[in-house]
Amino acid sequence: MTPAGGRPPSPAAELSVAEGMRRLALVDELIGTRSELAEVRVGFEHSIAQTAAEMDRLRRVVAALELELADARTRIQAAESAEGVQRERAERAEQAVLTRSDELVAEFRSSSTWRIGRSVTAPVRAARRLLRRAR
Amino acid sequence: MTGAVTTITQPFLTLLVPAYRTPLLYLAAMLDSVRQQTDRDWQLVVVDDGSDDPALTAALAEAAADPRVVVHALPANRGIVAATRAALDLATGVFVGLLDHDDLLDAGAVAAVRAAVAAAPDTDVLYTDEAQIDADGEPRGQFRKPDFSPERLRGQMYLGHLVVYRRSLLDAVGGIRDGFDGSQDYDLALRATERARRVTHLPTVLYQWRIHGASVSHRRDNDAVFASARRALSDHLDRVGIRGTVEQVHPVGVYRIHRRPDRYPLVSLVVPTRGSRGFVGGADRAMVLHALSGVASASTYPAIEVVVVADRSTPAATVAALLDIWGDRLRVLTHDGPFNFSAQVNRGVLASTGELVVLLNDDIEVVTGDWLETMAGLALESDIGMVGAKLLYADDTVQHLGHLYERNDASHLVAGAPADWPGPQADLLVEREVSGVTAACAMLRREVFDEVGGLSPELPINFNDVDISMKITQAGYRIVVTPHAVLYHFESKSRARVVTASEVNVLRRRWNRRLQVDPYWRHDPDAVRAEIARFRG
Repeated sequence: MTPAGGRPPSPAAELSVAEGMRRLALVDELIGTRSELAEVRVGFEHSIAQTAAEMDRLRRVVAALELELADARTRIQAAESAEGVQRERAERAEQAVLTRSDELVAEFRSSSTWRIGRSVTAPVRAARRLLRRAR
Repeated sequence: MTGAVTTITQPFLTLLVPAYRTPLLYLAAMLDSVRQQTDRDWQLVVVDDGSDDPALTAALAEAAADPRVVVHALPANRGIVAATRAALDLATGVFVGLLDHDDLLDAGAVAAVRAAVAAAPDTDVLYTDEAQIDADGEPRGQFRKPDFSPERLRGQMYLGHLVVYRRSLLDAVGGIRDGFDGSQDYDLALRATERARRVTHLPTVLYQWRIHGASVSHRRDNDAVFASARRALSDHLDRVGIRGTVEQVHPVGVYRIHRRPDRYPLVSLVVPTRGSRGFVGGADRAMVLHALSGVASASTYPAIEVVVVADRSTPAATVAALLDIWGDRLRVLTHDGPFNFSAQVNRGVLASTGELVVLLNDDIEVVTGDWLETMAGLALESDIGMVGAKLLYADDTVQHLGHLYERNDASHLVAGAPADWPGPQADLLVEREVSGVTAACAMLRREVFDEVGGLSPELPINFNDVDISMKITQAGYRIVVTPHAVLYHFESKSRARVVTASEVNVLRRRWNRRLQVDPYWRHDPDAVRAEIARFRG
């Protein structure tokens, strides 16, 4: 910087201007850096807030899915339970039929008809036994 | 003491309505708009200012069936101040709002005010945006207001409607004063904002102002109204310690404060130049010589020094001519290297000695002789960091009346509008806060320039004025532009504007958030364009 006219600055003034330029540049850099940091921080906080919001959204989705899953499990259990009851009932019915059948057989065998029949057919059965042995 | 304990709950907001011969349709609409509030924690106080209208009396009596509605009748017409004061005496709300008898509130108004106060609990004064409707309730326009602008409030009562005051503040400032009929709201706004801890702007239209033939029924004499406004402003200047006088500059109630500081300190004009030539008034001229000879001949300011920071290309004859004009009040410094506006300005400011510094382009021409007095009056106030002027293109259209920072961009407000266009809400007639001003003509105190590190060397050509504006407002100062300091700016005659990606990056890296929404200019751009076209006829 050289004076081109008007009042010439003294060497001290020139030095002072040079120092002043450095000081202004430093202050500007400091303010600029602070602002950039603030921008970055805000951007970062914004990103965090966005991520948190997305996490909240995903948590809500997961919670809804868990609810659905639990509901499905309940429904499956209910279905399984109903099936078990039905199976048990069928088994009980089958058992009842068998029991009744045995009872009927026993009942029949204790009847006079059965005894008469056995007496009547006794010679026939004896003949059959002999015949089987002869073979 | 025996008996039941009665709990008295204080409503959040009391709305004060002075009523005088209100058309019943309008009254019913106003009452409905209050009853329809989504937040029901309100009180409505209506004072009939001696209307002598049985139908109105009956309608108000019916409204008073709601326990939140208080109706009081004055025995005779005593004017809006007495009626509003009577309403205030009956108000019990934590906050008090003023509602005209023929206007409408948005159904969410009370809720929105409550939310805004919850977000900023030290709010003492709050104002909202407003819409205008005609007699039939049809929309006529909107006023999307700036954030709190004390300088602008000295030029016009821009707060308008809805304004809400904390009751304790109203009591502290003495409530509504006698003797300001027609401008009592302006007087109150000035006194309250002077002492408010916070003035909150709620940028939402929550109020519909009905403009019709009878809407100025309380303003029997507009001259008296404006006289009381000037008195309110004079009182305000006394209270806040501003020496000056008040002048009405527009018939709609726009005022100018002529500041009369007790001293006019030395002003240093810092002018970077390349010694370019250009055509002004049809003649080929050395721009810097034309600018500074004009400053010398037109300016009335008593103490000016000039520091020209000249590229080596500046002709010696131009420098010699400048020395002839300015003598020992001129210092010319030579700048080596490529044109670097920021470095040249910083060097020039450091070499100058004035308490006030004006950054000035070499392609200007002074129009108003007292431009420096006008700018200095503002710049000497401790909370103002920088002052801009009204710059005109050679064709008498506006080149600069403040910057606009929005949508990731920085531009000049209303560039190209006719010089005498008043703006959407007479904005351009008043001294007012802006987000930034151009370094083509900007005054600031040396201490502010030093505090913010001058113009950034990272922005050698473009956006250095945007950057310094941001630095100044970030430091807590206001930036004000005045339409009363006028200069021509023959922009682009000294250099072609080429913006580099690096400059854009620096600006966005530092100030991205503040480049999105401008707090001081919220008008709809389409409406502004339409108004300019209408003004041009």
